[in-house]
Amino acid sequence: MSITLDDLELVTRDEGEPGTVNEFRTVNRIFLKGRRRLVEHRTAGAEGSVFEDTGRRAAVIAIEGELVGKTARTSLASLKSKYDSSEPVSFSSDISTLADITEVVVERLSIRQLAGKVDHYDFAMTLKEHAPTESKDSSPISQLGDASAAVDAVAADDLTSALGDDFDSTFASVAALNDAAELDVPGILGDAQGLLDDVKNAAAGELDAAADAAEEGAKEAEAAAEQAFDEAIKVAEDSTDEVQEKLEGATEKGKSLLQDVVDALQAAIDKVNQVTDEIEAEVLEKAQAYVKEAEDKLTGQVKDAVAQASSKLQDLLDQGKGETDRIFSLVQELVDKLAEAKALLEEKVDAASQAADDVLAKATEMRDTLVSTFDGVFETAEGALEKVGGIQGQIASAGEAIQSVADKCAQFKLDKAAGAATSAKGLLDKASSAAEDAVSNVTSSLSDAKEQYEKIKETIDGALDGLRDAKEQGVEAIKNTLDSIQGKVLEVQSKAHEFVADLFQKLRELVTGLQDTVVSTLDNVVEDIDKIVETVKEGIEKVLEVARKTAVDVLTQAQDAVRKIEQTIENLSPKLAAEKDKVVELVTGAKEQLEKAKDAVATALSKVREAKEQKSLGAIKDAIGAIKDAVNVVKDAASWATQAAKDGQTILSDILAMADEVKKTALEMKDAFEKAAQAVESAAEQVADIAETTASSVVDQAKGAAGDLSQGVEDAASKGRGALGS
Amino acid sequence: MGVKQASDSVASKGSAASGKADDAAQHAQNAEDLQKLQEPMDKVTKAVLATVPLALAAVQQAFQAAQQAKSIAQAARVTKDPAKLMVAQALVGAALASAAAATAEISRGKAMVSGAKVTIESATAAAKASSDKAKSKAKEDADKAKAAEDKAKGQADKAKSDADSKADAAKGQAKVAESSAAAATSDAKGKGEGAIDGSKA
Repeated sequence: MSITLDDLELVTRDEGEPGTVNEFRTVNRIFLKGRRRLVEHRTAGAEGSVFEDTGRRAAVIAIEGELVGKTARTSLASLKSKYDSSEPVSFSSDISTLADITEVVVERLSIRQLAGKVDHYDFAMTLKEHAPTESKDSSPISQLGDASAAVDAVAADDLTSALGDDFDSTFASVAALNDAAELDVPGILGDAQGLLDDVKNAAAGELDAAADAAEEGAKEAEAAAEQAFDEAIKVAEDSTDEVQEKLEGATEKGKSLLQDVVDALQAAIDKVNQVTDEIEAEVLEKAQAYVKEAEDKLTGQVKDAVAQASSKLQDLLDQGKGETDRIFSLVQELVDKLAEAKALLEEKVDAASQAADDVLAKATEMRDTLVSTFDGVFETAEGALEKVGGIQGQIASAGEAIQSVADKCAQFKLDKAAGAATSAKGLLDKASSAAEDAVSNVTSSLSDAKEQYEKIKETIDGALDGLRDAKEQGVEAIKNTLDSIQGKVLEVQSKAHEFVADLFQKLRELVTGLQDTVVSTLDNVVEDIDKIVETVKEGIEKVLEVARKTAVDVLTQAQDAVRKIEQTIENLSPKLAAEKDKVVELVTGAKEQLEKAKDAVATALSKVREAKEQKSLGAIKDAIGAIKDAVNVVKDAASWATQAAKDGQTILSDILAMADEVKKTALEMKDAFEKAAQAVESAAEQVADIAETTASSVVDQAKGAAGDLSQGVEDAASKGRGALGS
Repeated sequence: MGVKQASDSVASKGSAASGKADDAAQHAQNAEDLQKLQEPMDKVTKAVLATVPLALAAVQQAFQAAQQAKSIAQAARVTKDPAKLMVAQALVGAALASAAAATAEISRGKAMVSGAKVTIESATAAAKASSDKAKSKAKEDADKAKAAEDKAKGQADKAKSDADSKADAAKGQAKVAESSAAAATSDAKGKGEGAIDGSKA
């Protein structure tokens, strides 16, 4: 759109920097008002009036728009200046209705700025068309008026000339009227004669357009009817068939799956029955036979072992008896040898005692000799000491004499003599000191020797006393020992006799007890084996019971699931049939409606073509009516199809609900199978528990039996070992 | 394409056909309106043909009278006879009055023709505007129908895609359920046999 007022474009966009807009001018509303000046001529007898067009009033243009942007204020000032100038301004627009207007005057200008909106102005203005100044009216009639005025003006001057001039003017007016009439009338007549043709042509054009539009409408309706028939019904039928096919497929699949399940269950039940029968018929019998065989084998082995043990015990008894006799013989021999040895020892003890007395006497004599010797030594030593003391006194006197010699030598300055005297004095002092030390040492040694001598004397006396005591005690001890040994040997001999008698008694009892123990152990073992057999029987019965119960539970659950699904399928069949009938009914109804629509459209199309040929308004109207009827029928058919679609959706929902029901049942069946599997698993666990318990019990009992047996053997062995040990 | 989408598409095309029928009806109404104008136009034509030639003849007659008066005036000028000039003036004045009256009649006829032409033009313009409006509405309806058809097609495609996905999912679930059931059956069978074999052992 383009509207320009003088130099101001009212619809524009002033781009600034790249990506920015300086100003945006737009026009939101344009209002154009025009009015013709018509003179009405009412003619008697005429129907209606004749209007003389004497032109029109100035057109009024109202424009409302907006100026936005940073230069909007400048544009607003320009707009205001055009209003203030009150001068006509040029106007141009590409709008067809405004195309004839080239100049306008701004009559009213209203500007509004909203608070909060910067550089944003709303404006409204009213423009009035300005017609450029025309030349003076030169119509003959007006000239006539002017001529009259001229007559008046010249009347007083030259009447003739004036009358002549006036005549010329009037004549010119008449001539002008004549010329104008001759010029205008042919055109008027031509226009008048063309009016009817214009109307007829316009009506014919509209008729053609109506016929064309009616034909297009009929074709559209026909296409709609064709499409409805081709697609909607086909889709409905296909959907119905597809749903039915899928449901039938699902049903068949479900049935097949159910049959598989039933077959599997039946096979499982058959297997359970078969195995149960096998267990009853074979396994139990085999177990009993095995137990019996084990029992016989064990009993035989134990009997053999007992016989062997008894035989060995007898051998041991015989061997023991032989050994005992040999031991008794040895013991007797020992006793005899002991008596003999005792006598010999007593004799030797007496001799030893005599020898000891001799030794004591000799020792006493030696002691006395030693005492006498040491007393003499001590007397001699003391005499020597006295002599040494005398020598020591002489040495001291010699020293004093030498000292006096030395002093005298010193007094008389006899140095060498003094020195010799001093040296002699020193030697004498050393000799005195050595003598003193020797005396001291000898005295000390003598004292020690005396002390040692006293101790030795005491020791020798003690030793002599000890020897005497030892001799007496030893003789007595040996004699006592010999008596004790002899008594012990005799006691041992007596006890050995007694023990051996007791031992053989006990061995006899042992053999008898061993036989009793083995028999008792065998009885216990047999009893344990009987218990094992009972335990095995109980275990097998429990296993059979669990297996049967599991099979029955599984079968019952599966049968329930199967019955449920069969019931669901049976319930679904009539519902599906009913839903199918509904869909078929809907599709049939839609088909009928569409057939009607097609007929109606064909009729309408035929009428349209006929009307087009006839170019008759009535025929076209009939055809249009027929098209509208056909369209209504098509719409009805479409409504039918829509309703059918809705009903189909409802039916589909119902079918889906049924499918959900089947799915739910299938899930229940799956749950039932899972439960069955769990039950079987639980049963298997129970069976395993029972088997384990049974096995454990069997093992315990076997252990007990083995323990009994082992204990019996151990007892026997212990007794045997005891006997052998004794 | 689903049933609903197909029926929606048909309904859209029906609406388009209905729009065309309305367009045709508008053209027919325009034709009828224009045909109604034929009678007054005929009357205007007849009136103009009856009056305007007569008025033209009157003007021509007045002109002839004025020419005769001109002869008298020329003679009076020559003779400088004011009376004759006044007679001639009266004659030409009468001729002018007569010509003016006839010219008025012609102008009336011209106005009638112009009015009739304006009426026809406005009727044609109104018919054109109505037709344009009807065409616009028909086009709008057709566009709507096309949009509805496209939408229906899109919905149909989506519905088909969804249905395919759901069908695939359902098939998968069915397969899983089937294999689960078969596995559960086999498992149950196996466990049962295992339990039995175990008990047998």
